[in-house]
Amino acid sequence: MNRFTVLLQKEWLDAKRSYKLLWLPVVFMFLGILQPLSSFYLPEILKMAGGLPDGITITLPELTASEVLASALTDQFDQLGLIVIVMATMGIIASDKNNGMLAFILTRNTTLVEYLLSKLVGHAVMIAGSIFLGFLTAVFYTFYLYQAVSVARIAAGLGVYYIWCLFMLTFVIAIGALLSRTPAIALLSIFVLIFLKTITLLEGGFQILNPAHLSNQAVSIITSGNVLPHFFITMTVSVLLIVFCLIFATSYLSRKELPSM
Amino acid sequence: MHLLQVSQLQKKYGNHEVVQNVDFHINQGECVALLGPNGAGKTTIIKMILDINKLTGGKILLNGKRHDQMRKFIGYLPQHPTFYPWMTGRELLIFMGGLSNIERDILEERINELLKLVGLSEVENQLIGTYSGGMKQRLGIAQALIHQPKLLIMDEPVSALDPLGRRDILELLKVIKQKSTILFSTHILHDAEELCDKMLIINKGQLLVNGSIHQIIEQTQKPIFIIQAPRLSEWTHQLMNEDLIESIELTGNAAKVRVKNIEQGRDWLLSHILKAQLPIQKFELVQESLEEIFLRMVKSS
Amino acid sequence: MHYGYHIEIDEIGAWLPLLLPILILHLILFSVALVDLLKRDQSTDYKWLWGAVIILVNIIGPILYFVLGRRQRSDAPTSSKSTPKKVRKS
Ligand SMILES: Nc1ncnc2c1ncn2[C@@H]1O[C@H](COP(=O)(O)OP(=O)(O)O)[C@@H](O)[C@H]1O
Ligand SMILES: [Mg+2]
Repeated sequence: MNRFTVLLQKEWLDAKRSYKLLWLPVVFMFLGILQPLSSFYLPEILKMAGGLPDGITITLPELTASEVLASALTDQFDQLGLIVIVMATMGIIASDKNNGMLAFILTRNTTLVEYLLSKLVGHAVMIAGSIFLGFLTAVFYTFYLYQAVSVARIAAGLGVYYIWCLFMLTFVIAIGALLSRTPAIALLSIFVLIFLKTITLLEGGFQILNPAHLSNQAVSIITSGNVLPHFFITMTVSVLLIVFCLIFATSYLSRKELPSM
Repeated sequence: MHLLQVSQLQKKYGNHEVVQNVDFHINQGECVALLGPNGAGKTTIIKMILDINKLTGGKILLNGKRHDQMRKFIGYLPQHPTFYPWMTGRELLIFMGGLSNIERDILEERINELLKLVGLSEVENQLIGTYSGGMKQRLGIAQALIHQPKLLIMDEPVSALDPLGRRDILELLKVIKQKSTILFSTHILHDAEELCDKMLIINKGQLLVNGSIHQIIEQTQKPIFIIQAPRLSEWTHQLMNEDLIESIELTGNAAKVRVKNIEQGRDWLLSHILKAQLPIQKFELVQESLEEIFLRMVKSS
Repeated sequence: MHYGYHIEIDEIGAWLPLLLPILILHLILFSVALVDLLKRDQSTDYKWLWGAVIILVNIIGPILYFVLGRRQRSDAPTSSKSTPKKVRKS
């Protein structure tokens, strides 16, 4: 049997036994429900809570269905979702590296490239499944509470958003190759990724080089059906960064004397 | 051609020379013990053979080819095997066998054989996290044999076990040894003596002796005088600075005295005993045991 | 003007199908985490602590348990081998 398949099967088994395969999609489904439900019922909840004291009025913007869906990406997936993705992946390289398993399995017929690719593909599939299920629930709720949105736009937007998720994953893999302690890996990854996400709020040309900007592109695709300017540059840069992270992880690990049992 | 040829092997960590110019070779079918006290450099040598640690000097050839391309032909049991605790024993063997590109149906068959050989058939579907130390060691041996390696390398396979577990593993290794070429490390002479015909004694990164057990005994054995008498310590104290005496070891009321020349030493010792009017109970000339050779070498290096 | 909640029966009827999935998802996470914790070979203190987290902290509790509570010694570096040893100057 193919060694890559063997490694991938191991990742799958690990995800099952550690319940990652359960909780990762469930979290994203929560996040998917949260946005449409809270947007829809917030006015009602406020009213039910007895309204606001006299003299204070809040004008809640009337959201369209596509805006609700878009904000599921930016307000839920990009915040709690980002942290959850980092938490799900912070240990994937470091634990094998620290307990000597990585050095050990490399004494067999495997290579670092096969190993890292199995980590990447395994988790890329898991994350794809999770954001798909999460967004699917968001779509159901939105369609039910608001109205239908073009499915083609949703699919295209989600696809673009997924590239940003892939960047998160490979970034955590690269940091995991570099550092040993999982809390440090998590903190550094979350810090950098949130930083990238936050600067998308700023105006400026450098946005087009920022993979987090793909999240804005996804919003634009879902709400208007059109991409923002320089879409392909951002896309290319993101893919190049993903490749760079993987090459970095491979060359750093192959140059280092790995901890062994 | 030798199966494994190690020449001028060297490892430095900073200024610390952990392995210094070690030369040895292993032939097909041999069982070789790498013997030395803790910190001697055994694990470092083994990890260099497996290309886990990089060499800082020297050369390792397996079947005449560079070792970093040949490590898939080695079966390796690490000193502290910590396999995935969330896998079952069988799953680990399937995983390790798969990494060595073994066909699935051949693999199943071989796994069944190996599980029986190491006595884990009953617990093959339990999680490794629940295994005892001895069971993990057995599983480690099974995974090291799964791809029918040309050379089986084990780092202290019995050192961490209780006497019963150690007995079991030693018996198992005796069976395995009939079909495989083995290099195993230990800090216990007895295990090396029991299992292997060839020994490499190392200390502080240097190879002290290399050869079969008989050769080592023949070539390096030295005579010892055993003197037994009450209140020996005062008397032995006087001997300390004598030129003829190589070393004195005092245990209870017996002393082991090594001398540089047997005839002169014997005469000198006897006359000295008479002079001191030592009430001796025993005066005997014996040959060093292997253990005594080992201890002497480790101490003097 | 009144403060406090005031929910009509038929309003609950409208909410329920929407809230049910959340409840089910929560129940799944909650029970899987709790069953795993009880099966685990750990000290009573450990079980009480994580049990409290799982039960008291909605949704996040079970996930914290899965990510942090289930990490075993095997995740930690083994013995002193992984940390570079002190190099002696000779
Ligand atoms: N990564 C390292 N950095 C510095 N020194 C090391 C390292 N690994 C081992 N050593 C040193 O090498 C020596 C030999 O260690 P080792 O090969 O583990 O001995 P053994 O296996 O014979 O007990 C020891 O003095 C140890 O401190
Ligand atoms: Mg050792």
